[in-house]
Amino acid sequence: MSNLTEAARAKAKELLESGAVKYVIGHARGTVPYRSRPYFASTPEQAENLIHDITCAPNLGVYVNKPQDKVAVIAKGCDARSLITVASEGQADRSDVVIIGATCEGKLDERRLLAKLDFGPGKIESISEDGDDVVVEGPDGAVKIPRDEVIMPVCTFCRVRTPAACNELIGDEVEARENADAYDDLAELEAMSPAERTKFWNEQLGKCIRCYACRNACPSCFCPECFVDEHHPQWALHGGGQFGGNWMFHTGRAQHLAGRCSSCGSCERGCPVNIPLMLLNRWLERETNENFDHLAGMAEGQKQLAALFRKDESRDQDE
Amino acid sequence: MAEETTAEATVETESASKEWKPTLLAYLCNWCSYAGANLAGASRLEYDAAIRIIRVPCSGRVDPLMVYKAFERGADGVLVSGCHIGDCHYAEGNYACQGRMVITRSLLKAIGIEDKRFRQTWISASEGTIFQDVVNEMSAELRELGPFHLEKSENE
Repeated sequence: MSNLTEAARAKAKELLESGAVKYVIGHARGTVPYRSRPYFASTPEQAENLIHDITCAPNLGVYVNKPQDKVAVIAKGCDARSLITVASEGQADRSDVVIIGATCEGKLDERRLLAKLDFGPGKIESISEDGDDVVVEGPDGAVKIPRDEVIMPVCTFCRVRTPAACNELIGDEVEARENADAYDDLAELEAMSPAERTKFWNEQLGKCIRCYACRNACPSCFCPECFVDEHHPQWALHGGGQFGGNWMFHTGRAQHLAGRCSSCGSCERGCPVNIPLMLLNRWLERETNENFDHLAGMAEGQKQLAALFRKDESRDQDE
Repeated sequence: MAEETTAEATVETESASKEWKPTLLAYLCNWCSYAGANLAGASRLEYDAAIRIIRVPCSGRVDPLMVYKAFERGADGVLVSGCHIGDCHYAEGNYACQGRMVITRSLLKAIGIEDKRFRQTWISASEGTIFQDVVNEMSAELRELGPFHLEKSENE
């Protein structure tokens, strides 16, 4: 059992016993060893089921939406960013949410892991961490893989390995990645000509089956009615083979997440057809970071991007 | 016989007139840019017929989705224009527009739409000549770039 799991359980127990919060949102072991599932612990006994390890990838910010009671969330750096963002947007009273920040060295990307193994996912017995390696117990004993090769791509340039703002902190502090501001992941897209980019996105977005898993996995997508579900005006056409509808959905989605995305990678992780959604999010993050000095959820009480457009300055793009 | 010749002639003129013309969709604010366009018309300034104007109450009304939708529905270029900064009829609608369009411009670039297909300008009610210049310039650029197809990979 890792230290983080123990610390998370202890903290959850303490909060539940004192009655400071009604429930603690965290992760529990999923149906398979390489997955976790979201878990709501409302009694100190249930807190024993909580875990926190490399498999705890889903962003728990999705479950904090206008909470009726005080809640605590065991949050990685990116979850904490999302929570602060949604609180600043009026989706939760910040005083109602206790953020238990958990330090993080990257969460598991199932697809990358399975590509590295020469046995099927059903044969994985357990997953643990050992220094900078991930140890996978399989049918022929343990397999060691360097962590950076199996964590989510967004985790390899994470700026919040230690949560930037939280109420409590568990785990040992980890420094932000050095390449956090480099945006190396965008280099490939950057190098393409407009025609190549169009072709690239046509291929990628053409795969979209409009399951909206990306939207549902995202804490910032909390609108009761999404623009794609509207019928009047109908922004994005529904139905098979409507490429234009897919294109509208993904451009609209990226635009709406500009300055609000916490780069947790949940959308990309949730995508069943592997669309590189984080490319668009990261592209706009760079834009807001460099032009407006804005990164979502990095500090308490942060202003929203739309409030930052400076009024004394003309950005006449034509000049 | 005579009839046939006429029919052929008609077909010929049609095919000549079917030469591609760009479609430039313009969202103009009611108070400045639309009035500027009006002035250009009233002053008999000639500008490119590629432009299709949609009048909006304020440039702050222009939802970025309206820009994407225009491209999706076949526009070759989109122009968003409003009052100069500080002159907004609603005090600060154009600030809202300005900020959003920075993001929109960047995203359009990321998904492969040439920079010149999208433009955001400020044109006041007295700037009929500037309106003429902007429309002519942009139409010329669009002619150079050629038609915009969302699904290029399939058409090629």
